[in-house]
Amino acid sequence: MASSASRFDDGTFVGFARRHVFVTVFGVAVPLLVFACFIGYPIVYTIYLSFFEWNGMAPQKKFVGFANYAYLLHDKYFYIALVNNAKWLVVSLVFPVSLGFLIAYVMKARLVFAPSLLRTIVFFPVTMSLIAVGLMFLLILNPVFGAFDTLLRSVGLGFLVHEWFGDYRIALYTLAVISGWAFTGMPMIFYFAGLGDVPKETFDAARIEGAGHWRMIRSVALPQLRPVTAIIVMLTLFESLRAFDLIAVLTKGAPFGMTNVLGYLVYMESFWNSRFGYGAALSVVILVIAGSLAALLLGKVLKGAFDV
Amino acid sequence: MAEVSLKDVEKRYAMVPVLSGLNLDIADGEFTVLVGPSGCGKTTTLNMIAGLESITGGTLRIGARDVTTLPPKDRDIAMVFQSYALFPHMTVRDNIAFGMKIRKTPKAEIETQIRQVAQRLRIDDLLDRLPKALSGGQRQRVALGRALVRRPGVFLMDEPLSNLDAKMRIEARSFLTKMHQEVGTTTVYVTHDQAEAMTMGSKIVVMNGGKIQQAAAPLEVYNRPANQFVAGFIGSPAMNFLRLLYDGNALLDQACRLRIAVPECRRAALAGQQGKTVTLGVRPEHFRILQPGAIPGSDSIAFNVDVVQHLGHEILLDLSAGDHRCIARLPPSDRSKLGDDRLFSIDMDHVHYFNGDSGENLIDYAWQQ
Amino acid sequence: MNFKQNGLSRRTFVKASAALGATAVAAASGVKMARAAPAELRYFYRAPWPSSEVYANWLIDEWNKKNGDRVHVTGASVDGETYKTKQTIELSSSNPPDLFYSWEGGRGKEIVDNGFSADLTPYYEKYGWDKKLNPAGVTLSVYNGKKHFVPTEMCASVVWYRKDIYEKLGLKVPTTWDELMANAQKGKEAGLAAFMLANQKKWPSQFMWSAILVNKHGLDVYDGLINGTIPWTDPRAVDVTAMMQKLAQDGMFEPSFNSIDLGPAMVPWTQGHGLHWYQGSFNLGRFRGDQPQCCVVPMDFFPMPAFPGKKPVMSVFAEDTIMIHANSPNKDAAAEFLDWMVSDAAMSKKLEIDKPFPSNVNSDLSRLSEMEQRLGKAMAESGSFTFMHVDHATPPAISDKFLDGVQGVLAGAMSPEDAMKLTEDEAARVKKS
Repeated sequence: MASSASRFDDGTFVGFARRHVFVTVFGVAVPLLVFACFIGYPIVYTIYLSFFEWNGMAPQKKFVGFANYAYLLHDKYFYIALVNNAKWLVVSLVFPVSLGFLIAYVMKARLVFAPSLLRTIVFFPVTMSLIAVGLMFLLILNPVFGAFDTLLRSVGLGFLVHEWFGDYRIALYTLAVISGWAFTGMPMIFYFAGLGDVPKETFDAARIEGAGHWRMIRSVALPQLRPVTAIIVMLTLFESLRAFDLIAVLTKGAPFGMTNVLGYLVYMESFWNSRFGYGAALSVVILVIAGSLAALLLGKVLKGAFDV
Repeated sequence: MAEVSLKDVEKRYAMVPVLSGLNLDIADGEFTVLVGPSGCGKTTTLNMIAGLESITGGTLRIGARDVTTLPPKDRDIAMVFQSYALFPHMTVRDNIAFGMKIRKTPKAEIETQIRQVAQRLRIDDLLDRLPKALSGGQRQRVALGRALVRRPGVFLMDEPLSNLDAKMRIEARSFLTKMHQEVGTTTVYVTHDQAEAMTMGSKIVVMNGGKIQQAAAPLEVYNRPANQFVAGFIGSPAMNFLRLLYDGNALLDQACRLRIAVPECRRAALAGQQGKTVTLGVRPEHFRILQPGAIPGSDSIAFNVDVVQHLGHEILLDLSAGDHRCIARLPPSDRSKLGDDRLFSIDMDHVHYFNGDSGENLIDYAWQQ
Repeated sequence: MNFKQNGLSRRTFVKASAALGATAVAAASGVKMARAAPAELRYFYRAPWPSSEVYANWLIDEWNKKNGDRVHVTGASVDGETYKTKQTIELSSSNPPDLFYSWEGGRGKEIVDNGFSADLTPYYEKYGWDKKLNPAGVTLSVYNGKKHFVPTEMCASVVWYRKDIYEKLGLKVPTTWDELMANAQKGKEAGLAAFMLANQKKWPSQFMWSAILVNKHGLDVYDGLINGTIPWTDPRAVDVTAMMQKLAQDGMFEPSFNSIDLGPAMVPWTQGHGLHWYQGSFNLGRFRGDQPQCCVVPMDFFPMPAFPGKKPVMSVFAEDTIMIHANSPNKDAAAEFLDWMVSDAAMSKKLEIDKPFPSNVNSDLSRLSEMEQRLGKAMAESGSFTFMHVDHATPPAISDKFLDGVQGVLAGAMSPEDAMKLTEDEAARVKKS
């Protein structure tokens, strides 16, 4: 056994595979095959399709080279969607992530009554379908009989009432905040678990030194939670690039395309406007953006976050 | 510099009392060790002094002030934790400077303080390292440094040596003692290790079941334990206990024909125990082995040798007589072998008598003195 | 196209063997078989209203009760909004529906051009549909000289108005655009929305836009825009967009009109906060509410009034149209089902369960309110087709940009010129490809 092991132990993959046949087949080959079929192939096909013009019905696709990409470069809608995605990301990073952290912190520091009830309530929206969330907010934020505006007016904050979906200057933020409302439980639960792994004594030590909550968060909790933050930032990034459901339910890009995001634009162009090639080109752009942002984050901003 | 005083302090968790009626006075500059088995309440007591746990009843004074409800930072204390609780993302320098920065100490002052403390603790060449690049002993000294720069009235230490290996622990023990002698700050030190308590403390507070069993100087606790628990907890190997019947003159066990006469001077103290069970406490070193063929006396017992432990400088014998089990400490010259039946005499001047039910020491030493 | 034929033959083969197997079993057990397995028809319909679903189910159940052993129909529905996106996939699949809902106009043309729609001209002759269907609807079904769909529901766009408020303010039904504007001004002064718009989903505003353009600048200009012979940047299209912009700036529409959808807009309408509403008659379902007859509040309609020196034109269009898939193996059976759909009995039932108006001119309107009967009659007699609003007339890509543009103008975020430029750029792109 020892001799046969050393015979193949040449440090190459072939050597590894010969020694661990089971792991190689079920741990490497099968997952790779599944990935190739269900993720790899669609990606490759999307890239292929982005060089064609096709309405989804015609039997023939027309090869147009880089025409779809050229069109994209001066498509106003594309830029609106791109900027909207960026805004969405910023809102998502600021609102649900910070809020989720704060809630996790106050629960861990036992600053609230019934923390586990609060945790359940905050996490609940994560389990809801975004479609249901959207329909719910469509009613809550309705300008005619919406509960939110009524609430604002009844507490004397009527001047804050806006056209939450109709005003093109704020509609996107309304959507992003709703998405944040539904997403807050996710960073909360991650941070809550993360805070459980931070040694309690470091908080005690800081308390004895006279650190207040702000200092405790900034100097003790957050630095020790960097791996958690890294994961959450990644999740938020992908979540914001995937933003689609809420837009499809709440605004469909209205008013006049000002709430389009890349994900919804792909759907619009492919299925509504029957431009599958152009939709594919947009998808490829999303892929490139997601890939480069992830690389940037891992390589620069969050460097070393995982070797605490 | 400050004295610490706990008066009727109690701790309840959701109406369930875990500590109650805690009374303790710690003099200024005293090195007090809270010792007891795990779950005895010693760490909770320390945390209440630190302010990390709220006090649900009674008063706590540090120095001249009532600090019962004050937050930790206003109690004039510093704490060293078992796990050191160093901030892993900060260098040694930043760890030590953390509190001073919060208190807005001037930069130059911080730097001077760090230098002084680092030199004293011999960590001046480690200042720019992260905790993960330090050994256990070094981390321990950094944690100590972080406490020292506070110049607190009271040092609180929660088992600071238990994460060190045996050799480091002995070293650190004397290091801490020396440090206390130099600085002279009142120290409250929690440990479960009685040897640590004996060697370091100027006062030992033995705790069990949420109550203080005895608070006194180390030798006092060793020689005059207040009760059977203290007697059994302090000293290694532990004191031997023989449950025997008192007939007014002697302690008996009919089953194994055991009879030990009680010296005249002790009979008065045992007066009320006639016809009841009394626990006789004998430290291992107070057994003397008699030569084969010696005549059994009023203070001798025949034991069977079950185990022989050679420690080099001494020998420990595990003995049995009927249901009674004892350990005797003998000089290395002894030649007893496994299975021998030997006769031992007991040094009756140093034995203890405990109430068979309550475990109270029946001898009132205060009266005797 | 090959794979589809393969798919078909494979399906036929499976069916044949299934039938064979069934026959064998039946023969063995001594049961007398009445017929071979029935022809299976798949009917893909749009159900924008809860009542549409109820009606479609009734239609299918009735058919299967009578003819189920010969031709069995199964239905699959999709809601109004996601219709276009799902249809593409359905139609080009290897197992497409036999009968399917299709938009008229621009979207219909895409389907016809891609060869998914069977020529229904022979069936029109066989069943005599021309004689009983609304003539405007029949005109609309013609693409390249062939009839491609059967209209099942007709609509007209008119100005709905609150009769009670008209009386209260002492207003008269206008016959010219200026009179309408004068009435609107009075309504506005009375604190009302002169016109309801409910433009959150951005398509509602196009009805008014199309009607103003046709009445002010003529049907030829509108047709020119649709056919691409007149660019959208034409001053006349810009002019109408600017008129809409002016109405918005003058506060003629309800507040937050870009945030309110048609459903919620019924609240201010029934509460008497709106005076006019230019919209299609498909809204009658909403106006009727849960009353047996229209309407919840006293209201009536008049056609979009005339501009000086022009004859007013009413828009009558087909709201529901059904096509037969070119690859359906059971086209004759499908046509038979279509004939059932437009039969007097089915159409009268549609009025009972669903909303007006049936495309069959012989249907019994007597159960409708007087106002609805009047409108129904006007539609039946309107003669051949006039015009339909932009998102029916043009392919979705163009109308989408057009609607975005108009909504942007109404929100004050875009100039009328830019909105029309946006539309024209897209129209040019579509024309090129």
